[in-house]
Amino acid sequence: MTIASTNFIIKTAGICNLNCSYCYMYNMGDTTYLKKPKVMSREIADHTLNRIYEYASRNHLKDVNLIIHGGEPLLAGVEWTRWFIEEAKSRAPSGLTVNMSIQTNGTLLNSEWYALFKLHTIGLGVSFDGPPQWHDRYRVDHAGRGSYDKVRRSIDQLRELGSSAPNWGVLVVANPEHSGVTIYEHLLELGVTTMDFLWPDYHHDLQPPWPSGSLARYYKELFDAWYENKNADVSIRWFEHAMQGILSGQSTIDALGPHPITHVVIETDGSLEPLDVIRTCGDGMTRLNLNVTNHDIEDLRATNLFQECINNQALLPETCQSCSALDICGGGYMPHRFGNAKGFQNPSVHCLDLFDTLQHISTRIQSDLQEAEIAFSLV
Amino acid sequence: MDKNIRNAKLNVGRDVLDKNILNPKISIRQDIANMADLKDVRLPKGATSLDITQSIKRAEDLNPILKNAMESVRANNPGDKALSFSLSIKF
Repeated sequence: MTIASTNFIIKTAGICNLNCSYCYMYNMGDTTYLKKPKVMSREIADHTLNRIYEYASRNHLKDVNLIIHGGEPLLAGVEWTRWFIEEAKSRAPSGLTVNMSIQTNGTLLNSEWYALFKLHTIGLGVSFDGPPQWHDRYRVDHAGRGSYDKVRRSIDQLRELGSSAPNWGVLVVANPEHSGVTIYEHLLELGVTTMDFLWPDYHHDLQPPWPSGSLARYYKELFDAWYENKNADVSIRWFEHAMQGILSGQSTIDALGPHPITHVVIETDGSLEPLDVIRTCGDGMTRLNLNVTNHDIEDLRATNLFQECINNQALLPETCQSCSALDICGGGYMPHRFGNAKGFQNPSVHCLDLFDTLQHISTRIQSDLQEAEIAFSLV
Repeated sequence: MDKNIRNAKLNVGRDVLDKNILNPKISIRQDIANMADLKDVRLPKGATSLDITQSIKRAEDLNPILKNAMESVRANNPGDKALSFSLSIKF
């Protein structure tokens, strides 16, 4: 069965006012951003929406997710973004639900942005790495100055807005040199209830700088702190999907589970590309010489690289195919499987840490269910 | 939950059980599920009201984060019989 693309990452800005050390857009080997416009033109945005909606109609899609991304997408400006959102909403074909969200570094947010996102039900993701001494070590501007104070101000404003705020959450990139528990507690103090802790973007030719087991320890401690708080109103997305995967063998996020990767990226110049994190695997690797001005979404999907994304599970090595955790982890996030020698035919570079973390979560779940004498089953 | 309401609902279950109808009806299952804040439960034949009381207590005490995950699994698989999720209580 062909799995249609429903997630469209639209790079409305190709530049960023921050220069985070681990940024997969600018600091992990890919340099194609140097040749792209700083902001998407309205003409390209117009083609982008046409291509997406034509594709959705041809494939009888019921919903699509438009993810406004960058660089720093707020650098496109409020007026441009308002225009784009209104165009995206008003031009959607009948019967198609358009879900929209935006991912920002949080330094430029203000009341005008909040009102725009609230009005149009735009989900807001803010990148944030916790206490200032850690956040400011990595999330710096081009002069090397930390961005904590600006992002903290935005988070405070969002919290104070209460129900008038758009739906918002915080994304943290895991770093085992720090305590995930401390970051989690810091987020709770700030009133953050929706959060995620992303596995850092490395692969077999760009190895994580930490000893094996460091990330597992980070995630296991974090899981225990979150789980033992027993507050179901606080969400950590990766853990929730891991638990669902353990209970049912299914997860719905691209970073976890045996899924086809079908994300479509549209760059500021209109380039059509597969999942953006794949650019960490090689300079220019995602450049496929396709553009919304001349090509349909199907043209992108027909490329070898996109077919690898769709069929990524078939590329997994025997060690993954015979692993007890395959149905839960799917071999790990596809970009983390890359290595020049075998392409994506590897387990995740985080395999041992992933397995250890999932096993820990599974053990805790099973222990609780057994203690309660509750059996769960798929019937 | 209001203790009186809970007792009242349990009495419904006990009445039925006392009549030796040991295959609980949907309404009673749903009552029990509601008490445990779950979508559904399955009760085996031979369950006594004491069994039910103890099981409800255990289910109520289950970590709400875990309950959320279980309910999400079921919500994500509507109408798919192979994956329709059911929580059963063991006695």
